[in-house]
Amino acid sequence: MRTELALRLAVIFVAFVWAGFRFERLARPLFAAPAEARLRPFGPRAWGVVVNVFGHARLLRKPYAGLLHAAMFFGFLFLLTAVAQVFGQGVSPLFDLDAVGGSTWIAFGQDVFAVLLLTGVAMAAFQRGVWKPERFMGSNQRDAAIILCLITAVVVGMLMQNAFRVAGGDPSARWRPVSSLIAAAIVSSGVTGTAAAHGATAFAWMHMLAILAFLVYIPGSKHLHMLVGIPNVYLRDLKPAGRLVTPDLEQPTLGLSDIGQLGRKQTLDLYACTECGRCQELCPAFASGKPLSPKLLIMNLRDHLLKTRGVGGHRAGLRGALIGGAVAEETIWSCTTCRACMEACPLFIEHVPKIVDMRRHLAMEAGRVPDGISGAMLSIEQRGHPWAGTRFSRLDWCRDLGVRVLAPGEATDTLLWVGCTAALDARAQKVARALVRLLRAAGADFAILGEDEKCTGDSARRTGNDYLFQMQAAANIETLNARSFRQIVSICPHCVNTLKNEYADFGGAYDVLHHSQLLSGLMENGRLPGPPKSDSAPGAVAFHDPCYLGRYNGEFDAPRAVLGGFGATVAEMERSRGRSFCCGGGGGRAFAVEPPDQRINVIRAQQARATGAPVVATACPFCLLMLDDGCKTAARNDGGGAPQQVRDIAELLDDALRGAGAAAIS
Amino acid sequence: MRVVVCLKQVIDPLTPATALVLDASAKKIRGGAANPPVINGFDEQGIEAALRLRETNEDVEIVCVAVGERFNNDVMKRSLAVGADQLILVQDPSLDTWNAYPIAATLAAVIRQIGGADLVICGRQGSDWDNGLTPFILAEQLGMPLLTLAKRVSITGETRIEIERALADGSMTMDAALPAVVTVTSELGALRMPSVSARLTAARKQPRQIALAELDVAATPSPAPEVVDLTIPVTSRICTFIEAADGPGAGARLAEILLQTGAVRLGGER
Ligand code: SF4
Ligand code: SF4
Repeated sequence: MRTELALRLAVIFVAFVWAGFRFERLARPLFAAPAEARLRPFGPRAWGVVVNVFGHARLLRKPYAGLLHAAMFFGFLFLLTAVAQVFGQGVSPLFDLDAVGGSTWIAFGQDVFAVLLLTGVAMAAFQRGVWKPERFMGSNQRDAAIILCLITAVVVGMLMQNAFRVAGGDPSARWRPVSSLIAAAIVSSGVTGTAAAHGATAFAWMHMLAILAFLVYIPGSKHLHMLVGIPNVYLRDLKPAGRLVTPDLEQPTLGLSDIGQLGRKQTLDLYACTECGRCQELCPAFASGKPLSPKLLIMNLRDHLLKTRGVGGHRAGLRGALIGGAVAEETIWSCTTCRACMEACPLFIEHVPKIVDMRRHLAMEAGRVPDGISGAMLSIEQRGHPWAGTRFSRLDWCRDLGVRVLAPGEATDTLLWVGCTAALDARAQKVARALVRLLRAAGADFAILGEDEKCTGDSARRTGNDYLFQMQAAANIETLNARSFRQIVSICPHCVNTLKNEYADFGGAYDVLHHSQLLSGLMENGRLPGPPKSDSAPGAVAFHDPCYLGRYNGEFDAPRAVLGGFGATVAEMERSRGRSFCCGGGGGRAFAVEPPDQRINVIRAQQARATGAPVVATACPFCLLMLDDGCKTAARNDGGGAPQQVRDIAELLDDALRGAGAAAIS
Repeated sequence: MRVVVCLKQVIDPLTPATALVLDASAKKIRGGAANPPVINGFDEQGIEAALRLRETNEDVEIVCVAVGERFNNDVMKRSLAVGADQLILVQDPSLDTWNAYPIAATLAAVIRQIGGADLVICGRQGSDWDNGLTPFILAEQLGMPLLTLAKRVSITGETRIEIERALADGSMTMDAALPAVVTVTSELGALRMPSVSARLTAARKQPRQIALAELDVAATPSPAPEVVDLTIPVTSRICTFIEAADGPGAGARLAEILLQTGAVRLGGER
């Protein structure tokens, strides 16, 4: 008895010390990292934990995986009582939980949750071993298998321990339906009395050793998320989704080039990743065959962190470069900043800020930016717009429309922020023209900035050139603040996002609407007339959700309301709304050179084609150009049928109101 | 070793035609307020060539010199941001000219005044008038050999220059003793992006201004050719929809129209 106790204490001691060292290795870089101010406000943060951790809100978007996780999660929570028991009794025979129901309802709960947990484990094993969804590609499968075995060992250890106790006449028998069943089998095989007591001790050891093994194993495993998951969800970003952190350009180093520069929550992200691949599954860059998987990015950053900061005791320091070593430059530039990954991640891991931060290093320190993108950025710097080589100047699109240009000191109700693409690209100009006709039909008082409008700098910021972005912001805010208006309306969700969410950091606070929001409002309150009675119904329209309108700014309904408002039926693509698949043009990628076999716009066009709708509608000039191009290729790939027409919602509404005949001349 | 890079401020060659303003009396073209000028692209490549020389040679001092009128300092200071040690501007209304003689003579005078140069790099030509004369006159005035159209420039043994010339179907290596004048061409590669800290430092630096009167500029030979007329072509579009019952019909109708308007001619006709 004595020696067993001593042995047990020794084993526990060794395991705790061992685990302690392993945890310390993780904790050191975490606490060395600069902390972001993310502790407050408590209410919304804690509520997010309730909804997303206890409520499994994001996890249950995949019902099978969500349910198996819930079974394991709640099973684990309840079996913490068994952990208390096995260690308590292991250290002192006098320990029990009887006072709080240890041999009644707790005993019952343990049996029930043990079964639940084992069901979860079986489901997980099936998913990993048989079903093998693609999202696990690249995840550490051995780790997952070890974890499942350890969990099984813990639960089986506990059940068998209890079963032998019941066989030995434990009073909790009638509260333990499952253990009793096993006990009956044990008794019928002739094991009772001391033999049963020995059995119970043996399985108590198994139970305890499995728990200790788990404890020691966790720090090097994806299962670390059971400890850092809750803090990570609590510390999630509560800023508007479309607002990136503004760096101080005077600081000695800009951007992320050394893993030690990661903030504390950004570091915690790396520990929190469960390698579930939900991000990878939705990533358009990954789907197009580019060398980027948000999951592998996080895993590589984590491995790099541990390799360079953790091992070898005190010899913290950089071993192997972050950029070009752990993460290839091509990977960093592949991202469209579409946010599908962040929207899917159950742990609220922030991929895009890390990618942009590495781009900041490349753009602002190293000066290494891919050709197409650097050309566009240079053009923003020199000409105030990224479309180098356009044959238009900013007012050409509306010369015959006589749109009022708002001079400094003047006032208007609605300032129409045209955006570089709609002003300078021949195709996108038609959207601006359609919107002007609609605003006139609604009797709106509006004006534009003309030559004084400059690129908002969205693509500069998202390709890491915050210097250029801040210059653009300063110039535009000066222009805007010299004029008065009630609201800004833009055709471009990227402009909307920047004006609405990002200029606030630089002294520009405006009421900003996207044209879908303005138009749906005008339709709702009757300021835009209903479509004329026509013999041909508008028919089915597939709607592509622009990332910066939908995922970034939460607007999914307004464009659909516009389409529905003139009688079109929205044919939903498989990937729509929050799960929408990027057109490939975000994050500066519209200017990048896309390898012909990795074109995201073609994949999206194929998805649109699958709806069978003859028209693809969107509400963003980048999406318009990307999909226009993609649909032509998709039609060719598809055996040369007619390509789908790609139109902006404003163009479609304008057509409907003017009658189909007018549509050809716009 | 001092490398002088000659820069020219030009109208942004990508300015849309609708934004160009023709000053008919002065026979000048202006970019309009919304279209700031740029550093001539070939000259930017000249800066890049100098920066590369500095990467492989010790003690390279890069001095950029520009002569002209109404400089946009923010634009010209890009040279400082990417790493030039000094930027010298000579501004005078008489230097707003398409005539290469006074420009080259002024550049030569600046180079002499700062104590000469071991190497002078120029872009192959200015993107505004495309005369491509300045480097020739400059080399003449400085009494230096001229090596043209370099896509690679290197210094050998501290006293000689070697260039690789871009040819249509091959390449040619040339060598000369320093000091020399070199013109570079676009095959050399684009000017690098400056880092933000370099930009911020450059923003605080000021170009050195030298007045034309302070310089000892050689007289321009006369008579110089004169610009007689300057026009911007007027473009217009006429859009016609072809009405036809079917595709072949529309094709035939299109061919007819193209023949009638003289846009295409049948084989053999001249
Ligand atoms: S933002 Fe989009 S493209 Fe970038 S990693 Fe996430 S899912 Fe992929
Ligand atoms: S980052 Fe999030 S979604 Fe992606 S694998 Fe990790 S936990 Fe899953």
